[in-house]
Amino acid sequence: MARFLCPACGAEVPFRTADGVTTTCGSCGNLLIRKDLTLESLGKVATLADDLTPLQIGAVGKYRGSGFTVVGRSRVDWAEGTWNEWFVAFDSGETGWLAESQGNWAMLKEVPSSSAPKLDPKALRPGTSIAIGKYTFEVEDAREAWVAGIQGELPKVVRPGKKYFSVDLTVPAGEGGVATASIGFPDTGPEVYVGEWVDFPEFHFAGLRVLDGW
Amino acid sequence: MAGDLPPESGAPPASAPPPASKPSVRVFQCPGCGATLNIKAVGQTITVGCGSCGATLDTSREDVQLVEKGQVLKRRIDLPIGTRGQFEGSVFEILGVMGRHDEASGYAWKEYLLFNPYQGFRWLSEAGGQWSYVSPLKGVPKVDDSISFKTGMKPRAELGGRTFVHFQNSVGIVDFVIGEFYWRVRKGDKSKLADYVDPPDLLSCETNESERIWTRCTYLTPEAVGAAFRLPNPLPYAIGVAPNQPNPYLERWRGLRDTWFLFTIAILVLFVLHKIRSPHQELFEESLHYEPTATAAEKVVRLGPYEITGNGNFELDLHADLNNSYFDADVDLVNDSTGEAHDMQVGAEYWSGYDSDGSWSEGSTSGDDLETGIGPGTYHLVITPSAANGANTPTPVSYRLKGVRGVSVGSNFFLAWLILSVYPLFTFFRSSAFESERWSNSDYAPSDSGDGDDWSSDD
Repeated sequence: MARFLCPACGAEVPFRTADGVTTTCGSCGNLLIRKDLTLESLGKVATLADDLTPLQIGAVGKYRGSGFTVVGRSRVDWAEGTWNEWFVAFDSGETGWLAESQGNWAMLKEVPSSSAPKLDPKALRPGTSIAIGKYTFEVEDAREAWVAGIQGELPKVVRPGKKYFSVDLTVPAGEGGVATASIGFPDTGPEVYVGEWVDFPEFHFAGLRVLDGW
Repeated sequence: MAGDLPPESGAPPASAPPPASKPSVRVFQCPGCGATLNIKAVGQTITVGCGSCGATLDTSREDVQLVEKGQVLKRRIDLPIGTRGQFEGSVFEILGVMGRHDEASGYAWKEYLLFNPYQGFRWLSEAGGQWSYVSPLKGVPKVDDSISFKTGMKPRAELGGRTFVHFQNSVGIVDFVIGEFYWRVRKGDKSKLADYVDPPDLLSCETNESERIWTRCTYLTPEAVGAAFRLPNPLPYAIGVAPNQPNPYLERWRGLRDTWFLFTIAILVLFVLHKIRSPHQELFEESLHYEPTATAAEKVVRLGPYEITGNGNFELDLHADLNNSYFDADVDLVNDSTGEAHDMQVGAEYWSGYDSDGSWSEGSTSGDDLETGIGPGTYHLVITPSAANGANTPTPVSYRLKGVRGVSVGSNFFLAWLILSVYPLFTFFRSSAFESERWSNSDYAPSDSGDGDDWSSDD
């Protein structure tokens, strides 16, 4: 873990992953970007509106036998709803994304851009088939989305409010460890993530939020 | 938040005390009627239907917008919002209820939104007192749209090794929304629904402009729903057969089918064996003549003695040369040592002629009688024949009598098969009737071909 000091308030700011590029200061809420050995402040980010998610930064879980810690979160909105993308740091040093959408959970890892398929977002409609790795995925939904708020450590600089095209994919006829994929098309080029749906209890989370009444 | 991170030292992170965070229920005033409303699934709910005035509200932003004014609903809601029930080992709370109907048939149903922050969202759907527990599918079934009218093959969806058969397509129109929903919804919203069944499950594919959502709907009895919510009063009786309702007779029939089939085979085998092993021993065959002018004593014929061995039956076969006449014979089969007589009867009648429809005939020139329980011994027969023509005038007849020991009787086997088949076949027919009722509500109902069958016009 790398430790920095917040340039805005002087509080200690940790980076848990080597992939982490930005984080929000836990004390003052400034968005900080990692520049070699120092941090640069990009100013305050809007506080993330509370939502009734059981997860929080600092929670630890297990996925396929590997322990991981939840280190960051990006809340994504679209015209008809919202979802959470939790950035997780595995004990092995790998990173991943835990997507939370209406109580459904998927663990995804980014496909290196070298092995990602070349895609035209305009051609991606629900039902379109795309081969990624060993799977043939089918587009489930394709829509415009934007980051509504961020919290903690993230591996990329995110500009809240900036719209991008987002596509969710799945593998037909699978069940149990169903492969899923997600493709984002920000200005910096397509980002392809592949993973699988996981039942929440299988993560054996510790350090979850305590939800009153539940 | 950094302070909340577990220590990076070797200390197990699990031991870090869970930070107490109280999710606040979001409270606001309905812009339509001023009623105080609250949101439980904070951050997820973006539509609220006001239970007081029926207004539909957009709660995606801080300032709640009135989407549409509504009317106070006087509908029966079986499960009030806020009710908690137990499903799959977790407690779920009813957040909202939505009424919908099918555009073509008007068939109406309700959908209750269930929520547990750790488990996510589920549904309960109810139509005509029939319930289903609805959960989102993680994968997408493989759909085969090919159909054959010849073989009756319908489109189907494959998932997890199971085949779900297409049941119906419909267009769901929202009638009302009460409570909170995690998507934008209002009265009049339309979406296409395609249902595939493999009881007790039904896979439903709901499609609108931007999304295609697959769900699994598992049949529940009203009693099961009532028990899950610990309702003080029973829910209304279920009407008819639900698309995903398990067929109790089918399960029973499937349980019986193999046994019944084996039993049928066994009866056939036994029958054949019996046929092969029956001695079918011809004791005698005598050609005789009946002369009505003879004296009564002369008319009586005495045959035998015959040695009958073993145990079993005895059959008397008659063949008479008849032409518009009948022949009857009283036969006494008498045991020579005991004097015990078995009374047997053989007879035949044969009539023929010619009328406006051509030639006709009825009756037969042969007949038989079977006597059981004939023990071994020496027997003779005493035959008292009679014969007459159509005018009831006695007439001479030549006839043959054959005596056979140990005749194989198939009717016993058939009778046994019939008795033991009554329940399996009854179950089979009940099962078929149940399936007919199920499918009478589908796109494949025999009576309403071409009514709302839009499964092929998928745009």
